[in-house]
Amino acid sequence: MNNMFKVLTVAKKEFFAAWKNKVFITFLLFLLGLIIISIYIGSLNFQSKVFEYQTAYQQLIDSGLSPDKLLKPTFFPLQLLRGAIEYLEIIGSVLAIALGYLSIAKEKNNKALQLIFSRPISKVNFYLGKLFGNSIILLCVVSAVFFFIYIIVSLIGGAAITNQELLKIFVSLLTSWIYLVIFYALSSLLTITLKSLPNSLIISLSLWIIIVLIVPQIGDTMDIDNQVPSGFFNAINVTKNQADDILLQFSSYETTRNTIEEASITKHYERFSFAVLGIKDEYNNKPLSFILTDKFNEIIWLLSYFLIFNILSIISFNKKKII
Amino acid sequence: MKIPWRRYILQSRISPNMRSIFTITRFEIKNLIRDRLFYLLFSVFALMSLVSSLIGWSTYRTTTAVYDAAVRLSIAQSNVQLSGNPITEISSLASFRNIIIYIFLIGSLLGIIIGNRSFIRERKSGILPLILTRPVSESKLIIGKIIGMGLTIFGIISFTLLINLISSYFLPLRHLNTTEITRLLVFYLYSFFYLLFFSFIGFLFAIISKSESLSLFIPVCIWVGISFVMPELITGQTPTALLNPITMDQQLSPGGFFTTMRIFLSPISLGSHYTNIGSQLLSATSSNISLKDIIPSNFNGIALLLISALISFFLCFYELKKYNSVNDFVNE
Repeated sequence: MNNMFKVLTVAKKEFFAAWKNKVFITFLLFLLGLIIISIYIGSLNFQSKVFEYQTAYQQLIDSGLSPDKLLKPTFFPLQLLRGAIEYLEIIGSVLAIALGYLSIAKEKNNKALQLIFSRPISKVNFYLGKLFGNSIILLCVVSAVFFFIYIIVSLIGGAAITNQELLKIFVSLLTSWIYLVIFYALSSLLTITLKSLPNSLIISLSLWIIIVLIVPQIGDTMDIDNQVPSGFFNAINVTKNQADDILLQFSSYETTRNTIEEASITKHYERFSFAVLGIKDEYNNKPLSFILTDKFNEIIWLLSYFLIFNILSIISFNKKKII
Repeated sequence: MKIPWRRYILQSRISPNMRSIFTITRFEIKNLIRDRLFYLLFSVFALMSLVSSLIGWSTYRTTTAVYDAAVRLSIAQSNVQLSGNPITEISSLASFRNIIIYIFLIGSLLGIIIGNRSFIRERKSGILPLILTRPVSESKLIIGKIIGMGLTIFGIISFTLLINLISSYFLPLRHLNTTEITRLLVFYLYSFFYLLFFSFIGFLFAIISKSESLSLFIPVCIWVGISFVMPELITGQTPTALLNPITMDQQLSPGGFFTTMRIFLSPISLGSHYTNIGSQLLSATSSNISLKDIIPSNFNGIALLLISALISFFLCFYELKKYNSVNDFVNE
């Protein structure tokens, strides 16, 4: 009980200190601004699809042809969140890295740790307090982002969000939180382990670029269908089924491409979130239970990274002569 | 062979002003070369340029094999009307198109870090008041440092270019002709100025930021704005789609909002100009524009980059003049 109180005291201090930090506030405002832009752009993209449909419909009517075969664009409000999820992937993770770095660097630099550990608090309790406090901050950030999204999409945009969709938003919120805590733990692990604080920040940012941007990009550019702007198979008049049959002959190439993509935490988060929110067409309007079963693998990957980085940071904080 | 730089500089007939600038330049380069973290980042960058050649080659080979498999399928199933292979229309230079993204991502970050470490190191160690007691003015200090940063970036760019040229020689089917090598050289020259601009941004925030973390995070925010936000507002593409060298310049939406954004933001979007000029120079898409046409048609983009680099240089100069090294204290 006493230990729990100590953990909560440290967590409370971390929570309130973060809201006074300029770096954190700068990134939070930047992230919220980008989310608004991305949702607005998503809605404009949908409007342009509707406009294209209406133009094609009118042309068919004018030329006396039946417009029945024309596919009407359907509005799925959660598909507007694609840009928001991608910005959470990119900027959200930098925000988590900043939190992870600042939470350790501050006390390591101003030598406050000597004073703290002269009090009856163990290293593990102290670090757990930091982890708990910063996890709550990240949960607040993610909740604010999703609340913002909900307000924009439903109240301002006027889209009706069903209970099932609300549940999907909640699942996506939890996954986003897990994703951000992974980057928090990675950054604090490096700040604990490395002697030089600037080096730990630069290495964290370099890893961020590799994990979040480079590795998923390699997989994407290796995709055969991405070799031509309009799609390679479309350019050579091959249907989706025929393309799948052909690609079966290149299973080793496809496996390599998939393995490269799977090396990135971001890709697991993206695959899961895109499935839950129906951004990937094959998961659109599917029940949540079906998506969770189908994407169980991605959840396991995310939870494994979550556990590994958190356990490693706790162990290294406890073992390292951090004072 | 060790070049006796010090003796050369002291004995040469160059003016004392130039001599102190060269001393600072030499010190700057030495400091970077001794920095293990710089080596680490440089190694990642060099490795990625090699990887980009391998990915380009492997993807080209597999795509050709996929087309051959499609031809066999069209013969077996008479209902398939196959079009010509679009990959054959793309030049060998396209194998290196991923390097556009790696310079855009890792190169820019490396530029920010080179600029940042060049000044924050002295600020933190409190050595600046000592340096400025010597007959070295702020102007000489900044010119010396910037020449040092420029030479380091030039070295990085030249090394990456060399990796591309060597790998093109060894990878079958992807040998480059003289025109393609010239295009690659122009691309790297343009990239040099792009990295130099980011190093000036890193340097500027190392002078003005109160804390070390802010001096790195603010340039990262600016970098995200240039690399993702502005291009998204112009094209309507999502951030990750902007990292595909084949599709990054496609305009997704023709609506009024994007037309307005294109009018106002296109002329000042450094990231869009960089990827656009880069993909034209490296023939990332099937539209093969000649080098003679690329430079005049992208005059605005090239001028924008040079003007931005010049403005950020003068801002560094102005801020360093204002900088008070005596009462300075850097937080984490």
